[in-house]
Amino acid sequence: MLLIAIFFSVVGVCLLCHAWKTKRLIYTVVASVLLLASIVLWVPAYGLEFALFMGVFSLAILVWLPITLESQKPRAYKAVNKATLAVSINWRGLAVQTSHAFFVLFGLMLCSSLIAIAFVYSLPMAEANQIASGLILAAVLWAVLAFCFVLSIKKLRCFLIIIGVSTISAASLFVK
Amino acid sequence: MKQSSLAKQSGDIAKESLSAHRWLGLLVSAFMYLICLTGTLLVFDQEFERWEQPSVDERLNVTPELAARAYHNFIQRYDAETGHHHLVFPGIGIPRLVVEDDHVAHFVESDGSLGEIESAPWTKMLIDLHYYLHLPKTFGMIVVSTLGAILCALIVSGLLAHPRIVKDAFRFRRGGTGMQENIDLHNRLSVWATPFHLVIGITGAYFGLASIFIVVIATAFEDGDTEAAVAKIFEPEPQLEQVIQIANVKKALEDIKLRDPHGKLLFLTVHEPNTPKQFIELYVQQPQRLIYSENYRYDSKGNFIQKGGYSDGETGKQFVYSIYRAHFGDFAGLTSKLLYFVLGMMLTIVSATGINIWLHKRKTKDIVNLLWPAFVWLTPSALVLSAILQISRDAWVYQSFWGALALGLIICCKNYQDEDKLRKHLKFLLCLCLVVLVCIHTIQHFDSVGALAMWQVNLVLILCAGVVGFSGLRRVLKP
Repeated sequence: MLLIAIFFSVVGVCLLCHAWKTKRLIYTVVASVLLLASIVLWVPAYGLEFALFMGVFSLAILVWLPITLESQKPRAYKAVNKATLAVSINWRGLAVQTSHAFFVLFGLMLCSSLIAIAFVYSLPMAEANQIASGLILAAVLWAVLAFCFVLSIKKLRCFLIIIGVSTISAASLFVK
Repeated sequence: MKQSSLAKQSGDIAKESLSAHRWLGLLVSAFMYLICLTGTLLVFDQEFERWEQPSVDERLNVTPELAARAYHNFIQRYDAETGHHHLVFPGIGIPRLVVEDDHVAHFVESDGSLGEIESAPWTKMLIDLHYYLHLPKTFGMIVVSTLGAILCALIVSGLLAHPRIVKDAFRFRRGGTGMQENIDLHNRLSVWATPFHLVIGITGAYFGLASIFIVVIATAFEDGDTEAAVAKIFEPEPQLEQVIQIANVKKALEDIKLRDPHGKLLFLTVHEPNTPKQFIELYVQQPQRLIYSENYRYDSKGNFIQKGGYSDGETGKQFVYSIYRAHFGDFAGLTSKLLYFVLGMMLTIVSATGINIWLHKRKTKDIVNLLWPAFVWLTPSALVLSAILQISRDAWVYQSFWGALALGLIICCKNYQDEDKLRKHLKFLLCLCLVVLVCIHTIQHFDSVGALAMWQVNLVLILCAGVVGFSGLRRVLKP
């Protein structure tokens, strides 16, 4: 069964590559069905939980079979001679970037935790489920907020909004 | 008109996302590379532990009598105050029985007597590097978990920065100036392995977030009682008042065989030994389940008290108890370990190639152009060097890693101008270090030369040396 599952995965990724090359929908559909079937076939050997992990993760490796076969050698470009510079440090810029880094790494950890806990505790679920959902939400929120903060041109406004929402969340948790 | 405005908007988003991706990547680059590399190696932490002490007696089957005899022998020899006694049962990864308290651990001989003291300092150094970056534990754990969240942010920004994600799905340009190869390698590896990277990022962030969650929940709902907050997920300890006696581990072990015949016993812990609150806890791995274990508790006499409820409790409880194995990949034997090792190596390559791309795209060169490849190729060499010193001199495992890395970086920056030449030399250095390590390990443990614990790692190390050496040689032969 396991060998059939791997065979389905290999054929699936190769078909997907063929679909990508020929831009034909039918191949994409067949490849998707095969890949889905391969995950189902992992189940008898490993159970549902492991099968999901193994089936999805193994694709990241198997896909290198068609990628390697399709790989091309690019034109040889001339190596560009770059000017060598001595490192110069802009201290003000460094201080600003460091403060941003600290906020992204540690400030947002606290903010996302507060927002996530306040949100999940308002959901009608058992407490263990609220905590588990909160943990996933906090990690994802942390990532999204970090991305938004780095992306934003008006950093101060973004910072104030995040702090504001975190304060409201903290108030909803701590103020009785 | 509308279409061109949409294309412009999507182009702007991609451009800005790429800039955010670059900033975040540069922020965590070196730490991310260290964490990814050590995490990948740690998939085989049990194999490394075995390799450090290859002469230890190995067996897979342990009877309750043997375990009880070992436990009695241990508590007779060590009567220092301790919070726990543990019996670690053999598994496929490390088929050895270990008995330990909070201070010392012994392997157990086939007659139940205490054997060699367990000591795997190099593996412990590797674990400490991955968990805490060798920083003070609480702070280190938080720093490392921030990298989990930043990994998620890098995934989001990376996907948004890649407008040709479908068009380039199978594209790979080898060779050239190295720029296209690095870009394609970085993009293909990261896009196709996104589910794995997300799992690693979220579960990695959990380890730091958990401590903040406990404090916040305890302050908000439990009047600052952190134990009450932890008890919402992890079963609280039973409140017992018993006559002080030696824990009857044999009876508990006999009971578990009937109570959970399909489970695989991981370890047994005697909590608060020699106190009226003493109780026995058995951690039993459940077949085909991602949860770390189901836990069974017994009183001092070996009578069953309660089950932890991790296998059939609330979904949230099961989820949290599954995070460890989902992060470390130790759930389906060698298959999942190999899968996690390859995927982990891919993530390590992604973190290295990300900075390579940034360096390639810069219009000028400076010391960073030498520092980065030096750091990437010196880190594994420094790890190997620390293992060599540990095996040959039995000392300086932490210092030798950081010392070799720092010294190597200084030497590389002072003596090299050409990055390609530097890379080639560092590959040869790594190859040489690996060969020396295998030779020294074989000489030091010559008595165990036939032991699986020894050659399964040494063989892989030789293979790695061959691959790295060949890769360096290819660079020499390349016109």
